Formats: sequence, structure tokens, C-alpha cells
Amino acid sequence: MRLIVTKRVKPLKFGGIIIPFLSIIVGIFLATIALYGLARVPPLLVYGAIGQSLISPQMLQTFVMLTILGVALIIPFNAAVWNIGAEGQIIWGMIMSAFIGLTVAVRYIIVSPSDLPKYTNMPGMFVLPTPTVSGAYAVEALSMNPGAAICLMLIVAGIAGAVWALIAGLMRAYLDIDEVATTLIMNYIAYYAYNYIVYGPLQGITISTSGFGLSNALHPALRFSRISTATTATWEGVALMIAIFVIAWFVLRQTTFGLRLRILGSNPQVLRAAGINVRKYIVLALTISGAIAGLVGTILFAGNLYQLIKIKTITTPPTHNIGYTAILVSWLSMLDIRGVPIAAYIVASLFQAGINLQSSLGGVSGGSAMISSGALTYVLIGFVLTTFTVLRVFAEYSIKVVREGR
Amino acid sequence: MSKTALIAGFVIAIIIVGVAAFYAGMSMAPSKTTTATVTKTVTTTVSSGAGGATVTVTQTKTVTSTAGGGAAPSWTPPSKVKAAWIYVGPVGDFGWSYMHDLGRRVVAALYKDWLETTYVESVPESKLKSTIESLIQKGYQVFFTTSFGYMQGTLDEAKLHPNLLFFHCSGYLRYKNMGTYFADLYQIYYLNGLIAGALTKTGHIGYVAAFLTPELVRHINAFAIGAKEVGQQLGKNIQVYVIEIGAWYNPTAARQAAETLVNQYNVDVIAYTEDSTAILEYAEQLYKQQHKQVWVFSHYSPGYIYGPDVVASGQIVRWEVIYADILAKIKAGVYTPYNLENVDYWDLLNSGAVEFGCWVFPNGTVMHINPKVIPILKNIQVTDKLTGKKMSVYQLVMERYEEMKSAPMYNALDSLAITHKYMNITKIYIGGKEKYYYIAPRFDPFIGPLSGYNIKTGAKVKVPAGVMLGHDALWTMQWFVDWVHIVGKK
Repeated sequence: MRLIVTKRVKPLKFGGIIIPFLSIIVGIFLATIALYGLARVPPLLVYGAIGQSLISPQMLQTFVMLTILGVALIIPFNAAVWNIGAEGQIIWGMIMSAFIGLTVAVRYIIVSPSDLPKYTNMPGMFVLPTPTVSGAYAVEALSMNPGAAICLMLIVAGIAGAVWALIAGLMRAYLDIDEVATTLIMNYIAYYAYNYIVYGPLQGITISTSGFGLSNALHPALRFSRISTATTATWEGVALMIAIFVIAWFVLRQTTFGLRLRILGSNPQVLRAAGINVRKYIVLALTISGAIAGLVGTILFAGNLYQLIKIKTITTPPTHNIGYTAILVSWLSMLDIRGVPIAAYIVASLFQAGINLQSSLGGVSGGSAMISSGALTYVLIGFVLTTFTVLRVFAEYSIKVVREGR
Repeated sequence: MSKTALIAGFVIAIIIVGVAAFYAGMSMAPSKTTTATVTKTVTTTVSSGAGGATVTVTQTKTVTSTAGGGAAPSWTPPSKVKAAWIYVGPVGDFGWSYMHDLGRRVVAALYKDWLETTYVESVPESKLKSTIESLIQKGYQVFFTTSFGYMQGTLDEAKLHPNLLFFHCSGYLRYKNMGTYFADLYQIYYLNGLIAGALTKTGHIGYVAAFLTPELVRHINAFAIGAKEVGQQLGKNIQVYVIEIGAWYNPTAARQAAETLVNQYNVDVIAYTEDSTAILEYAEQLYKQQHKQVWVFSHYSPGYIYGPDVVASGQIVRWEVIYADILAKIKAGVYTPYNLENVDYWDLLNSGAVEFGCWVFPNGTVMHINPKVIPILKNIQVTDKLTGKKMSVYQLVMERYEEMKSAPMYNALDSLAITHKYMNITKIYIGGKEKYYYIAPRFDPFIGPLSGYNIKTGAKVKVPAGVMLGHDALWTMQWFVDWVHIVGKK
């Protein structure tokens, strides 16, 4: 008896839609069984938490970031250039946004405690909450138009992310060094650089920040405006998401540039035969990806954190590893840009389900829950992904069992 | 066609979700500029004592108040308090988050009639706000955020939700509905230091630090001051070597740091501030396999079982002491969302929120010092530099402990931001025949003369004789006493 595995010539009809959805449904079902078996988590509670998180506004911010990052990764992935370094590019986006927002766009006025009341209600002034080490207070005053400052933050963050990705891109294109390794390693370089900067050039000046590994807080006028109190998603973030998605879709699907990128992914020989500089496309794919990831750094900094916080453990950077989660999103979308928002929506909901589920379990009988929200989330996502992989194998390959003649 | 339809559908869906979320939020958020006209009927009953006649005066007053405009808003404590804890790490770390959750479990069981609790663990700073929002949606009113990195996020949320109560652990920023609390271990590190000074043979003492934040710098100084106090009298040249591992939980790095200290710096006593048990296990292994005695001090949770042959003493925290107080005061209506601006627990030994020891027996008593160490300490004689009395190190440690444990005035001063400054007054002149009244314990490690250097600039720092460093000086401490050295830094 033999197994014959052949690649399908024609992909399954509607496979691109059916497979992700089927894998999510089956994956969640299997995950609830596993959670019940492992930790006696009531399946109804799991379904309830997932259902609730699908419509809860709290997942919107993760959705926005994952969509942008999914788009950022789809571009090089379509060209078979594997950018695993979104994390590092986000981090540099954060650092540079902070640099603009905390040093270029504002100036600091040092005020004695007795003069402080004059500044507390003055428009455009932001009094840092605790005094500086010397006992005087520091007031942030805008030194440029806030709209211009936000634009500058975004531009510089984009450039920073692009440059960070460009390094790996050049190494891949001209030295043939595998970009999977370099982009991944450069994430850690970025984390340590971030910690160095938080303790060095961008260290805060007040007693509540100096020595604690915190930067100053961003001036309120430079903060993105939250859509509502119930969510951390911002109008600026949503606008960026829509703009990036539409532009990327257009470039990837409607231009020669996008076509060439996709051919680079499937058959680079064709491009070479046509006399096209393949190296240029490799570098560009990574650079564009890095630039978009850099923008996410601004969204995270100006839209959520408002200040740089030191990385306490290298596995928990301020990005909460969303750059890696985005890889999952782009794969769940089957490398089709139209699927990115759907995949991002589902993954963001599953993350939210983890939080909802844990807070439901945490209160049970005053004891500690058997399983953490992180573990819950990854059990859910893990099962979805495993099912997805299995289904994709069946979708892309036809498997036949042949009985050998005696 | 299907392409375009998909995209169009999706964009529309996003807009709908966005708009819906916006209005949902708007309807939930308290409006900022409402002018409320309240007609208040004030009935005053006056009883005249002599005649027994009762005169009732009824006044009708119209009060116009703008929300947030200063008039004290009404607040009724909830009949069922729903409190949520947010942890930065997993509760299984047996360090920081574990001890906070132990505190939560204690109060949840104790106040079960009116308290409902939950927690979410391993929440990164960037997810703090959305986690709080999720919990608000579930009806939680009280939030304990237990990481320094949550400070800004908690403040932002507190400002957005003026009718909920927030408590942030280890931070500085407060607001009318956001208080702070912290259990400080520096006195205990000092007591541990006394023992370290007696136990070390080489005079070289190690310290593994997660980060050199002001909190850890004052731990290290207190520990070094204690070690020197005893070690110097015994003719030892006490030097403390510090390695910063750059992580709160990294067992590998902690172990490597301990190995470096033992092998390269000839260290035979180690204290640490990080969340793993790696150093205890390393020292126990060294003792069992190479018969080399390196004493360690367990940190945060009772660590005696991880190294019964090597743990000399340690520090234990009891967050439940603080949680029980805060929650009872919320229930009783003492703490409201309008008066937390000054609530700042700075709990020292007197409060019971921290304890000197390395083990809690099943019957609830604390093992202050490993029984194996007690005879050693009893055999070493020193002079108490405060009284000039000769005594054993054991007696010295226990006397200092008793003194710090029973600092009665601290109970009155340690839970409000405005009273911390009085905590570094050793004695005040009150006149009369008593003349002086003692406020701080008679001995504190941070009473001058002390000399040191700034860990960043290297600039000399001096504390004059008799001056005691207070809350603010300790909370911003960025200098080491002279006999503390950072490994890898000149």
C-alpha cells in the first residue's frame, strides 16, 4: 500500500475562504475540549467569552495594529522575503516617535513650585506630575503645531522602521544572508537599544521617571484621540489602517510593481530572464514592510502608552510580541491581502477572549484559576493554527491511497 | 466583482463598528460639562429642651453645581464590592505576582460576604488599558494594578472613569480616584545585612539585582550598611559586589550572576532582588555537591524549602495587610473616588505588610532565622553602636527587629502622602518633663554619617551625622555607599 501525494493543479474552489473559517470553528471546538480536559474550564464559558469578545470594543486596538502589521508582512511574504523583524521595526518606530514627541515637538520649562499654579491652567502647557530631582517642576510646552508634530512623528517612525528593515534587506540582496535570521536577531538588538535609550537619552527628568527606566509622558495635545472610553483604539489609528490597507491593496494588486513582487515570490527566474533587478525588489519589499511596521510604533506610543517603559523581561517587550502575532495573521489570510483584516479580527478576538475568560475564571471560589489568560489565548490560537495547517495540506495536495498489485 | 464587494463590505463593517463603539463609549462616559440643577430640601429639626415643643423649620434651597466643579459629589459605597487585580507576570512565578495573588485570595475569603474578586495575569503594559476596560464592562469598580510600568496607564484610565477606584502599586502618581501603595523591604534588608556581616568569612558579599531602580538601590545600601555594622567590628573588610541582570524573572541570568560572584569575587554570602528561586537552588547545589557554604537570603516569598542548608534568612511580603485595609475602607465609605489623592501606603515592618524571615510554618508563625544559623550568631559577640552594650549578633538582630516592628507612631503616618515626611523625624522636642518624643524607631540604617557615590555620575554624596533620610530621599535614591561596587563598572 502506498500513499501518493500530489500537488493540486487547480486549487480548491473557495478554498481561500472556507479553509480559514473551517479551521477556526474546528480549532475552537477542539480547544474547548482540551481546556475542559486539562483544567475543567466549562466549554460554555469558553464559547461565551469568544462570542462576547467578537463584539467587544476592547479588541479594536489589537485589530487595528494586527491589520496594519498583517499588511506590512503580506507585502514581503508575497515576494517570498520573510520579514520576521516587525517587532524590531515597531520598537524603532516607538523610539523615534518618542524622540520627536518628547524632545523636538516640545520644550521643557523648569518652574519653581511657587510659580507652578500659573502654569497648571495655562492652555498648551502640560505640567509633569512630580517634581524633578532638584525639586523644581517641569512643564512641557509645545514648540510646534500639534498636527505637524504628529505627522512628523509618523514620518520619522516610518523612516526608522524602514532603515531597520533595510539593513536586513541589503544583507539579503547583496550578501545573500538569510533575512529570516537577520530580521529575527535584529529584534533583540532593537529591544536592548530601546532599554539603553530609556535609561539614557530619553530618560525622564522627574523623580517619578528618573532612574526607573521611564521616559517623560507625551504632551496631551500630541496624543491620539481614543474612539471611546471603552476602547484604546484611536481615530488616527483607524484612519491609518484604512489608508494603508487601501494603498497596499492597490499597489499589490493593480500595479506592475505589485505584480513583479508576486512573481518574485513564485518564480524569480522569470524576473531575471526579463532583465529586472531582483535585488532591488527584495530590498524594497523589506523596506516598505519596515516602514509600515514603524508606523505601528507611533500608534502604540502616541495612541496607547504615551511614554517609553523599560523592558523588564526580554520576552515581554512593550509591543507584547504583536510583530510575531502578525506573522500568524498574514498566514491565516493565506497571503491574500483581502484576508488580512478578517484574520486580524479573529486573532484579536481570540486574544480578547483570553482576557474575558480569565477574568470570569479568576473569581471562581476565591481560588486561583487553573490557567492563565496567556495560556488560554495560545491554546485557542494553537488549535486554530494546527487545524489550519492540516486543512491546507488537504487543500493544496491530493492524497491517494494506492493498493499495490500482488 | 467579488473582490471589490469584499473590500467594500469590509470597509463598511469597520466604519459601522467604529461608529457603534464611539457612540457606545459616549453613552457610557460621564459627560464633562453638565450643569445640574438640584433642588434640595433641607429639614432642620430643632428641639427646645425646656418646653418639649418641637419646631420644624423647612428651607428650600436651589443648588447649581457643575459636575467636577468642586462640589462634593455624592457617593454610596457599593453593597457588593467588585475588585480586580492586574498582574504583570504569571501568578506561578512564586515572587511578585504570586504574593499579590496570595493577598487577593486572603481578602476574597475573608470578606466573602461583600467582596467579589478576579484577576488577569501576564498583562503587558500596552494591554493594560484594554484589560481594565474589559473588566469595567464586567462591572468591576476597584482595580489594583501591580506593576510600576502600569503607572501612566492606570492614571489615564482613572481620569477617564472618575467614578471608579484605582490603586497602583509601587508608583508615584495619584489622582482623586487613584491611590498608591507599597510594601517596603529596606529595614529587612538591613537586618539581613547584619546577619551577612556575621556569616561572611571572606568579607566579600554578593547582591544580584534585577534593575538598579531606586527601590533596589536602597535595598542594597541597607543590606550593605547592616553588613558593615557587624563585619567591621569583627575585623572584616566588607565589600559588596552587585550584578544587575536586567530582568525581574530570568533564572538563567540570576544563576550565572551568582556563579560569577562566587567564582570570581570570592563571595560567600548572597542577597538578591529578583523573582526566581535560581540562586537558592544554586547555593543548595553548591553545598550538597561541593560542600561549599554560600549563604543566601530568600526574597519575597518564603524560600527556606528551596535551600534548607543555605538560606540564612530573608524577606517575606504580606500584601493582604494592605488589601484588607483598603477594601474595608472602601466598603465603609472612607475611601471614595474623590479622596484618594493623598492615599499612599508606605508599609514598613511596623505594619506587618512585610516580615523578616524565610519561612512561614503551617501554624502561621514565622521562621526569622534558619535554626542552623542561630547558634553561629549567638556565638559571635559585638557591641551595639547605639547603646554600647555587648551582646551576641543574634540578640542585636532581634533587638533591632523588635524596635522596627513596634514603631507605634509609624502606624499613624504610613498611609498618607502628606505624613511621610514626618517619618524621618527620630525625635521631636515637646517640652515638659518628657522633653523628647520618639517617632521613628531609634535605629534606622539611613541615619548619617554616610558617604557614597552617585551610580551614574560618580559624584560624591554625603549624609551628615544625625540626619535621617526620609521617604522622598529613599524613593529617588541613586547612590551607593562607598563599599558597594557594581560589577563591570569602574
